[in-house]
Parts: sequence; C-alpha cells; structure tokens
Amino acid sequence: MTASKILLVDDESTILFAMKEFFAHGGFQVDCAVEREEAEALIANIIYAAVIADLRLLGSDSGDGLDVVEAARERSRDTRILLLSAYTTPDVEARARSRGADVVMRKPRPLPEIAHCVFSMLEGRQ
Amino acid sequence: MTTPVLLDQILAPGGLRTVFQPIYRVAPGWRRLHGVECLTRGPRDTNGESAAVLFEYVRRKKQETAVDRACLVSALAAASLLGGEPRLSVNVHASTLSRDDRFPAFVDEITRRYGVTPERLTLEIIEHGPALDGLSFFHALAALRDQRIRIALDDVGVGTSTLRMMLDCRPDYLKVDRYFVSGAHIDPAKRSVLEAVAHIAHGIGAQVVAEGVELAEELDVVLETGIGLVQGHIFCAAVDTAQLIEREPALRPEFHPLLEA
Repeated sequence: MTASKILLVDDESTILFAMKEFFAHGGFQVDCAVEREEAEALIANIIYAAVIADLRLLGSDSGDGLDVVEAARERSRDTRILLLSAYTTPDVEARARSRGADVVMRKPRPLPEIAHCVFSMLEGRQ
Repeated sequence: MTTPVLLDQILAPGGLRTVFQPIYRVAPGWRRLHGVECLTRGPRDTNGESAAVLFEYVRRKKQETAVDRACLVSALAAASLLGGEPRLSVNVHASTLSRDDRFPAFVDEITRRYGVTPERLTLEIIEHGPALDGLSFFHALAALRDQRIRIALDDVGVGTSTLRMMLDCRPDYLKVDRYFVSGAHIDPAKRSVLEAVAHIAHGIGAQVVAEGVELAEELDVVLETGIGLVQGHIFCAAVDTAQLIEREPALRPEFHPLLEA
C-alpha cells in the first residue's frame, strides 16, 4: 500500500487543478484522470490510499464514475473511495455503495470539507 | 473548462517517444549486438509517460490499432537516426492484426518510408491469447511473413500467452517474460520453465530471448538452459538514441542529413 497516493477523477480541469493543489499541499502524492479509462489504467497499475471520483465523466451521460469506483474497489479493499455528484439520489447512492464507494457526497462542496471526509476515512482505515 | 483527453495527446504529432533496449547474443565471456527493441513512451507530463499505464489506457479505449500504427512510425523514425542497420523490434497488439486488415500494407509503407528492409524488422506480438479466435489474425501474419517481416511472441509464459499460439504462429522468436528470469538462480522451478521454453523453441525452429536479465547469476542460468539472446539491465537499460549510440558505437550514423547544420 502506498499510503500517501491519492487519485482524483474529474473531467473539469479547473476542479481537478484546485483539488490537486489542495491535496498536494496536504502531503499527498496526487494523480489525476479526466476519463474513466485513464482512471482505470492508473488503478490497474497503482494501489491508491484514496480515490475521489466524479459520477459523470467525459463523454458519458450517466455514471462512468461508478465504474471507477468498482475498479478501485476490486483492486484493493483498503482504498477509501469518495464519489462526488451533483445528481445524488438515494438510487445513485445505493448503486455507488454496492459497487464499493465508502462515501457519496453531493457537490459542490468546499474543498476543506472534502478533505476532512478523506482524512476521516483514512484514519478510520488505520 | 474541459481537459484534453490523453488519446488526443498520444496521437498528436510528437506525442509518442521511442527509447531503445539492445538485445545481445551472448555466450560465456562474449556478447554481440543482435538487435534493439523499440519501446514506446507516452506524452511527457501525462499519465501515459508510464508505458504500463499508456498501454492499459489504450486497450481500455480499444484504440490499439491507431496507437500501434503511431508506435511503429515513432519507432522507425527514431531508428532512422541510427547507423549500422540494426535489427529492430516493435510491439504490436494481436488485436491490431485481427482488426486492421490494412496493417501489413501500412508496415510495408512505413518500412519503405524510413529505409528499413523488411528482414530488419521484427513485430513482437503482445496480448496474443484472444487472437486465436480470428482467422483475420493469421491472414495478417501470413501477409507480414510474405513481406519477410519476422515475428516474435512477447511475454511468453504470462498474461494471455498460450502454448497453442507458439504452434499456430510459428514465431521466429519467443520472448520469455522477466518473471521467469528474475531469481532463476535461486528458484529451480523458474529454471525448469526456462529449460522448457528453450526446448519448445528448438522444436519449432524459434530463438529465445530472455527478458529482464539483471544479475550475473541469472545470466548464468539463462545461458546454461541454452538461451542465447539476452535483453536486460545487466547489459543496458532502455535508453534514448544518443545514449544508445554512446553504448554501441557501431550504431553511430556515418552521415545523416538531420545532423547537418
């Protein structure tokens, strides 16, 4: 397990950049992906401490983020997974949890709140 | 704001880079350059900079054909800066041979463009298991052989490789995966696999390349099993064109127009 590695998955470069800067300052090594396939390729080669994924990704109308969640969970039981979505419904939340998400969070949310959630999940894992 | 996707960066002009790793014919106390494998690296400062991530991404995007073509162009363009006319090996997905019926013609066009005679080029087939289902794969293989291109099966022994593929492809080379080489001097089971591959290769008229040789003790085992072609850090890591020429002066270009002021 590479404890300090985190993967951010979002197709909005401004969001990705802001989150990357924030978590890098928090001491994480941060990888970013804008597509499902890119995220899955990273997950296939690297075990992450945490994955933060948006539900809707580039070129998809619905739930590519759920595939990322599932890939990360299949790769490691220890990875903490946070799914962000502007379209959170009980159905989405149930599907996300069934595919391995630890937390589903409606966005937009302030970065410190997302970070607090990630830190809490990581502490809980330990 | 939307970020450019990795595939666009990969397929953009100059998106891919080629590095080289020499393959040596080796006997105790002696070695000679046999050829160089052309290895692709993705765009700098992207996730594709790692070859493992690059090709995993490409396969998940189902873009093996387009990227294999781009890799071949990048490889032969980079190799055109070398002198000495070395043998060149380039990876190609089995799925590209299955799906792209114009690939043999493309290889012919690109080798002509860069002045590489077909006998110098070996296509190393990767991810070859699924190709067994398709006749088109074997048609492409036959067309490449007609062009006098050599064929290697890469990653023998791991992943999707199968014994049947060794028979059906009749490759010129079997490239035995580093998994079986690493630690072969302390693991008799790995040594047994190397011996078995060498034996099969002898039976089908192929040569074996041992990949990932790092230690002198591993090299000893490889040679004892009768494997005579070696690739690995023990001799040379993957290096760029200038570094390769520095290590292998025979590859120094006597003259190249690009070197003129």
